[in-house]
Amino acid sequence: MRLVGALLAALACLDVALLWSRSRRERINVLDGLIRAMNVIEAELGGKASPLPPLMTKLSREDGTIGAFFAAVSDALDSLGAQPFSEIWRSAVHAHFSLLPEWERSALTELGNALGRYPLQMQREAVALCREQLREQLALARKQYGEQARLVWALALSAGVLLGIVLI
Amino acid sequence: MDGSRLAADLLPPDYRQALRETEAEEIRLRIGRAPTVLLDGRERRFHERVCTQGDLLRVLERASGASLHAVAEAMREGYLSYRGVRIGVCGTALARAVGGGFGAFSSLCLRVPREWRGIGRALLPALRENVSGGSLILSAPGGGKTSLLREYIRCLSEGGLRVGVLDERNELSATDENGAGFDLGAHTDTLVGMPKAEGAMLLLRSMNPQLVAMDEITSAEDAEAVLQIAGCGVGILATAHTSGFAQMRSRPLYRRLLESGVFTRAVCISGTGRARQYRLEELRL
Repeated sequence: MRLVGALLAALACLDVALLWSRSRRERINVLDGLIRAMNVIEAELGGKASPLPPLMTKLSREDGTIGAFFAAVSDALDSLGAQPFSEIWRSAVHAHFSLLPEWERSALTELGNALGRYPLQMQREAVALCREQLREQLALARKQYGEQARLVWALALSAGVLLGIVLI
Repeated sequence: MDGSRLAADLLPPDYRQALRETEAEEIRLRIGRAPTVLLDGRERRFHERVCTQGDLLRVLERASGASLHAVAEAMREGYLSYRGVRIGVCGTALARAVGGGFGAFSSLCLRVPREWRGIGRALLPALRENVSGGSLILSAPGGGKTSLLREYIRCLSEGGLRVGVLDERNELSATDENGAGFDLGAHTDTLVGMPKAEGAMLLLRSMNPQLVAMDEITSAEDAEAVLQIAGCGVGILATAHTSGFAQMRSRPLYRRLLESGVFTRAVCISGTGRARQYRLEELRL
């Protein structure tokens, strides 16, 4: 029984490391996906001055959180008039990107204030600005993950072994 | 199609709920003023809350699908169309050098599209008698030209005539993904969203119409489209912003068309609302 308890304690420590790793990688994937989506938005606005509804539908076909975010925006466009696009966008940002820190969500919310409202060139500049901000954060997130991952796993393993030894 | 409901759908929720007048010709929103409807030539308030910039933006956002950039071309002309509802825009214009359009909006005029069956019916036999001769529908702005044109298209088409419609702003047919919102008749082919000059030849080549109908000849390009159609021996039915023949003659754009002999008669509209009257005039310079 003590052996079982020690094993479970060790696994719990490893699980903490796993959760940490998963949340960091998920944030990196979301930032990466958002940057790709910004590229699509900029290209569609620049090339065809595409209306937002079909653009949101197109992006809703992306996998995972990114697709779910744009699907939420697309579905809520029926309520335009009752609420502005910026509010639809803001609600979707807070509902789907809770794992992003507040200031990254603010950068996305700012973009929603510009989309569909201002002249085309200003919208493209807003998209480019948001993308650059996200790119900087993505580069930082990757660097930090690379630096911290080994440490976190090492700490988790050490703690697990130590706890196991103490319990046994 | 219920034009009143379509127009009301664009309004903020409290304005929409307060709007009971289903016969309104126009809905007007002005910043700092209570919203009004135009009925029988007079504006009447339908809500006490004054309009804000936010109200105007919400209407435009709904009408454009949150995509003002996609309707920039129409906005530069001072309006946009939403499923047959023409939304006139007023505000602070931006210079053409920076793209034109509006920097800020101050008022909107939502023109309620209507299907008035039976209007101008007494003059229909005269139009049917000589289809190849061109006919114009004349009135001042807001005089009911589009409604009359829509009804004439439907009647002529139901009478067996193949009618091609150049619906540049989608106000005649109010076409969406479900098809035409207004009934334009069983033998009508509608080209939506294409400039008249470009659409005229496409329609003639592809759909073999006996009559081509279009709303609002306002530019040299529109006049050119008319001449192309007439040159192919196809009848024309169109509208023009002018109160009568005398006024038409004084405007170079229409004088050119009159001199070409394309149009031989005009239906002139006078009066407002249900008291409108229609009379036929022969056009001779």
